[in-house]
Amino acid sequence: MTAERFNADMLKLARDAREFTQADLAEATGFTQALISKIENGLIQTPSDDVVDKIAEKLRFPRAFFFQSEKQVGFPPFHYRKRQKLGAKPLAHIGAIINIRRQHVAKLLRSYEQTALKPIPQIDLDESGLTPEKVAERLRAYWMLPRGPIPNVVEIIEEAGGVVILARFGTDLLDGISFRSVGLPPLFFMNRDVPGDRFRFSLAHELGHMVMHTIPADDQKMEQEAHRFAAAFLMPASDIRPYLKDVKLSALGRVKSYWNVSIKSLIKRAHDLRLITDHYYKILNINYNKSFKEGEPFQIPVEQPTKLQSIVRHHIDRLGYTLDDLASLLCMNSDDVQRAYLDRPRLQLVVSN
Amino acid sequence: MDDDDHTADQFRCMELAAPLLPVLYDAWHTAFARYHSYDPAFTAEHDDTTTANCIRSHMLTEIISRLDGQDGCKVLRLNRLSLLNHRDELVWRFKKVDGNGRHRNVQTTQQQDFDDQLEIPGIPPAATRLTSGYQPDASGLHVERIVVSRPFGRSMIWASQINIVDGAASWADITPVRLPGTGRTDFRGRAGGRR
Repeated sequence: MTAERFNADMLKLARDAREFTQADLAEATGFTQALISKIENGLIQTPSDDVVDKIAEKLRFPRAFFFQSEKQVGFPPFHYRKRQKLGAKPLAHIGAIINIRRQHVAKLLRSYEQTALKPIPQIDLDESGLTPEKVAERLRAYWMLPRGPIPNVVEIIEEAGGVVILARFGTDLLDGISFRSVGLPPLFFMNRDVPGDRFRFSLAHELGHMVMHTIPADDQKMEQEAHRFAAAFLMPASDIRPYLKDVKLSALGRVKSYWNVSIKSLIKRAHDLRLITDHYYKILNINYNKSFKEGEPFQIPVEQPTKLQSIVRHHIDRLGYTLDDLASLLCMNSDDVQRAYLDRPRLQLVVSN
Repeated sequence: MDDDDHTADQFRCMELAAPLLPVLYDAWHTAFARYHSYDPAFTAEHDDTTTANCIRSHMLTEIISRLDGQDGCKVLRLNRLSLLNHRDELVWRFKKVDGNGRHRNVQTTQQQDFDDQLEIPGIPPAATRLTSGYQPDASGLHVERIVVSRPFGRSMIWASQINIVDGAASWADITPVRLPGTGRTDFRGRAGGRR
């Protein structure tokens, strides 16, 4: 949606997306920081065309981007798996990415009908009296998932109507953010630069938030519940127990390669299921930290979402959109559209005879 | 056997073993890779002993196909022992080993006698008994190193690591260092009792 008026929120969003401070932008454009600050704070509501063009050029967004009447959404008060060390600046960058991509999803879904036979449900723990483990069990039953490891968590979420978006957060201190927004399917923004096993666990964790946490509550409690949900969803107690009969690092490598979860989460699961003592749990963690300083062996590839790409493809193949049309719709540069939605994941070279 | 003797013994044995080192190195890696090409649904159910047995079984297949009947090599099957006799000078066992080159499982008397360098019917008495082993990494998913050791009693006399550099095999001494004052394990170790 475009407006006649310059939208100061969009300037802040563009600046955060490109990781520019006001001073950086002032230096890049040759304007004063005072001018940038006044525009952002609404003291100058109609900057001149020259100013807008220069800002648009330096921030690599089309001019139309700054005239959208979109409102920025803040971070959901919960539903994001981050570590405490994450600073304000990277968080602002991630917030900008999420806002921009959320706007894209909203625009793209206007011309795309999607139906999910079994959408992601919402189950209130207090009302239902269920534990996170029971919710995970019910959800597996509801989606008729077979016993054992889940081959692809992204696929399940997308089939249930969720949209999973991989993004470069520029940090490994935040794994994922999920939220529901009016008129949109549940959105899962996931850090693409984490190991595949951690990606799967974080996505299951976010799914737990989407299912169980409609209304914000104590942050730590919700995090623990989402963690318990993820563990039970990916490693149901009755299914994983036989595989944890020999809880040694040397055996857990093989279990990891079948269950597609990290060795670390298998150790934690074994402890949570009381298959090992507190003392042995401590010893295992010490050995783990000593053995896998450089990361765990057996790399699991990050699961690739397909829904958003197929929605974009629908615009091109069925609705006749060109790359420039899409760029115009999304208020992006064509190169950015290509990179974000049309480039395939890097393929490995396969030599055949 | 003092330090000088052990070093001389290690050099003598490794020189005799030289033609076999690249084959052993490659055969262990092939055996290991073959095991890990199983469907993970099956390997995830295995404990470490089962895994070691499967890899050892693949290793024996490799040894039979690559060495049996060639260049003075003969595979011996003696009850629970599967061995490789190399020119009646070296007789090899094949085992998973730990970081010190030792193997750990409970052994039969015959297997203990082998490690203790005692006479066993069917094995040339003058041949030196060696263990060819692989050490997996902490996760059990990769080979950390390939080892040759001369076991004795609870311990070993020496251990060597096989390296392949530019296609050529070499070895390095990795005999565990003893704490000062405890002395090196030698042939008198037998008096210390059996496992």
